[in-house]
Amino acid sequence: MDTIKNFIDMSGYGSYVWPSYLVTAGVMIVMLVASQRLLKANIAKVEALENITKEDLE
Amino acid sequence: MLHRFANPTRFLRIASIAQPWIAWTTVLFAGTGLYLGLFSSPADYQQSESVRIMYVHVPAAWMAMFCYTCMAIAAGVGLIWKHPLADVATKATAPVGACFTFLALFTGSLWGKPMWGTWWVWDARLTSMLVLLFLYLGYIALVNAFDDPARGTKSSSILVLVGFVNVPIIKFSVDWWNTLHQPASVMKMGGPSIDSSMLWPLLLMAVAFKTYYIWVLLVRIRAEIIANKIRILRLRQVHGQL
Repeated sequence: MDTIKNFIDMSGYGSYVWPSYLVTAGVMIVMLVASQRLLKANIAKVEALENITKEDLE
Repeated sequence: MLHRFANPTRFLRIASIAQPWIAWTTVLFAGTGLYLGLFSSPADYQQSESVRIMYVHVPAAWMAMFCYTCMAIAAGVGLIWKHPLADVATKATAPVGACFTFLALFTGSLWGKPMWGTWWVWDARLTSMLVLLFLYLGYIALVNAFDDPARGTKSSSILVLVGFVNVPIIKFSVDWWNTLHQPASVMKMGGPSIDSSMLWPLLLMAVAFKTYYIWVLLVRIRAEIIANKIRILRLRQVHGQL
């Protein structure tokens, strides 16, 4: 238990170390998820537009 | 060789094959780097445990400069040779580079407070990094500011090339001016001065950040290529209705 407490405390620097890691992980995950969502949304849009174009041709 | 990969259709095919491999490489290197950085590497004899901020701060700062350098090369290639993928790569890199720059500033501030006694100081290294963040944001604003995408791309590419002068200023700011920021300890003449127990986790994290960038870049380039296709299809529909 003390080992975990010491690890989180980081010799008194925990309040500087952990926000650094958490914000870095958060920003990188948000950027990745946002990029994947953008790709999915664009794929859906292009498929919808291609279907409209096909219907027009028919 | 480059021209072969500049074909968007071929690029989309290669990107979809490479993406899972790059994703797993990122997870593997980040996992190992985090384990070594947080559990295995020692505390610094002067900075104690606060030195662990280095394992996210330094890779973020390296990537902030690397992304801008990639953007400058791609912008130059786009302006001179009109490669179809170069402008797309520049646009896809900008938000990722802006995120890395923000992270370098944020984690640097968190490291600066306990070590220097201040969150922020207007010295050469910190100020030039802030300028880099504004260059990224300026590019993102400019590239989307025109009704004609070609004009936006051209204007913003020129901005990227002019702004590239800031990259060597960031790199050498710690040598040219008196600054609170420490000088280079990894990429310097005579080799790294950092102990291998800290160097390895740092290098593993640096590789993880780089493969993460390639991962996000592939996703964003694919999204941009499809966005261009959407624009063309919409234009065709409009012309068909006229």
